[in-house]
Amino acid sequence: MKSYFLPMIFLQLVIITYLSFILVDVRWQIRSGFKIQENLNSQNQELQNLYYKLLTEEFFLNSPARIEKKAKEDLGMIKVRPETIK
Amino acid sequence: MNAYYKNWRLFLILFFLFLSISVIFIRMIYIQIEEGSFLLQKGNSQNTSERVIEFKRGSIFDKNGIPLAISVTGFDLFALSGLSEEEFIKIQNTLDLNNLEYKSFNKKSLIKRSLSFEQMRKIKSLKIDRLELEKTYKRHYPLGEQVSPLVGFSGRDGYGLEGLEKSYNSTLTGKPIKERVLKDGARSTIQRLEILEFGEKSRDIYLTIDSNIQYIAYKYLVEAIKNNDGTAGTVIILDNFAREVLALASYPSYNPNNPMRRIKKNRVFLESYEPGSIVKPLALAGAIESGLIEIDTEMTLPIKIEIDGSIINDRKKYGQLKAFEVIKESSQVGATQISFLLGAERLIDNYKKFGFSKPVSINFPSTSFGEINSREKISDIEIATLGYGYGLTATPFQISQAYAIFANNGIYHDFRIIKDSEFPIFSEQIISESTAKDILYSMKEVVDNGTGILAKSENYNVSGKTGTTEKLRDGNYKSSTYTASFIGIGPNPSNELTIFVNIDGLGSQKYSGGSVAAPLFKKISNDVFSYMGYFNK
Repeated sequence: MKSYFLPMIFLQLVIITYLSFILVDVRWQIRSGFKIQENLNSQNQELQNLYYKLLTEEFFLNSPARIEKKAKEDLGMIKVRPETIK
Repeated sequence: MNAYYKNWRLFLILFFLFLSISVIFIRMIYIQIEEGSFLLQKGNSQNTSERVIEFKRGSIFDKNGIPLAISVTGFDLFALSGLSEEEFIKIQNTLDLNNLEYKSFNKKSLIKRSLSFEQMRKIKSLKIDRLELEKTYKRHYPLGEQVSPLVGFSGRDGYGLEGLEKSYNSTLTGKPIKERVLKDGARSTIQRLEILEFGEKSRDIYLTIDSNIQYIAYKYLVEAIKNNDGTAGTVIILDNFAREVLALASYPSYNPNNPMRRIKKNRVFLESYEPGSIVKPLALAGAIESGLIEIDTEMTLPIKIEIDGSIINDRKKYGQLKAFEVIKESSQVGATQISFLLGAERLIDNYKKFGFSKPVSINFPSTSFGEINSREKISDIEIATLGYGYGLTATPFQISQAYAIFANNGIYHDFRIIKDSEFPIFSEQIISESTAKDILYSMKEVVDNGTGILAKSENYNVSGKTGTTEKLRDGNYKSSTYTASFIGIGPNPSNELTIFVNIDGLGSQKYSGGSVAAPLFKKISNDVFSYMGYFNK
């Protein structure tokens, strides 16, 4: 019985030390994960900004006001009336 | 002796070692028990903090996904007290702020607003402690004044101040999350410890407005107001099938992107006015529905009638007119006779059935209901004037919803402006299908041969009605100022759209619904029908 005492203590110390390392590692992973999440959130917002800019640009380029202006002023186009198409 | 001496020294060392350990142990117990909670609190206050995560304000889109209001994330850069000149020059070089000069910073001061993400990263890479970056959201309105009286705007704090921005503020803003976080030595957040308040994500709103149709409406409205020396006006376009609002243009407008904007009201919901002759078909519908008259009943009309000392007259002596021709010619005398046929009570009830003096279904910060003269002892002249649109007020939106009943076979529908709205649409059969068809027929006559002939298109068939109103000022009708209105349903026979136009503040040169509003209707309807894929008659 006495001969198992010291190895048992030693084994427990090893396990405790191992678990402590695991705990530190898990905490580190949680914090790394959190940092990655924060970065991704920031990237998401940056991409959303870009998306809105592109969406607005698309609308501006396709806007009937701009097309009408270009057609009339730059290209000298006139409105086609349905009755002229035969 | 020697061994004893050695043991004595060993015991002394062990004794002090034991004493030291005991002191440390006792101190540990004391700290743990006596000061534990205080120190824990102090530690937490240094390492943890609460933070509030606010959601970016939701966007507003039209029915095709075109942005009407969007928020862009930016960063405001602040200098904290003690920022050195050397550090300031570094910032200047990074952001190209050559116009800024260094001053000693005694308190938190704004250096630059709305930094982009790239600029923010550059500033962070400088690793200057005495700087602070605050996340902000800037609101943009790509359609500007075309749609501003409807969409409204929000303030710098992100709170909706006008229009739909105000009425749907809670949906667009959401509810912020409150959480407790762990911070490292550099005060950077490294871990979320607990969520103190669960928030609610902000949501986008999709309107039923079609920005292309809105553009057509606004463009021609402004053009017509300027050409006719008017001061204001509205255009409403309703999709009778989907029961949706396609366009709401209101002039004068303002640029919501300009911080110095001067707000203009949305006349569609707020400008209740005496609609004039535009209500005549509603009165006739009530009379037909009550079985008092039929659409082709012959009516004998003198050129003028005198009631309570007031004279009501027509432009010319019609003699005999059928009921639908009273609408076609917009006869005041004919409308007066229809009013007397119905009587005050039935006439007023009839207008109420059509939605007058009732709140509209659109969730807008402020709306006008209009009112109807419903005094108990209403005089004969008041009954007569109610028949041709005086003595009652209605907003352009109420008038449009009332006319949509004729396009929807006599069923009143509440129209919506938010797509996929969870609220059920209220519907009620107001008049019979045959009465609705009779009125549409009389309105078709208005455009083909009557007062609204300038709304007649070579390409599309439409039904419509004109209205001209003298403005009431300080209790008197000021004859030099008029409001011209026209409402049309088309293209016949599908009758998909109801289009209302009015121009306010017209002078005495050209002011009637037939000469000012009808041509505007024609321009708008031609372009909108063509845009919607209708092609020729």
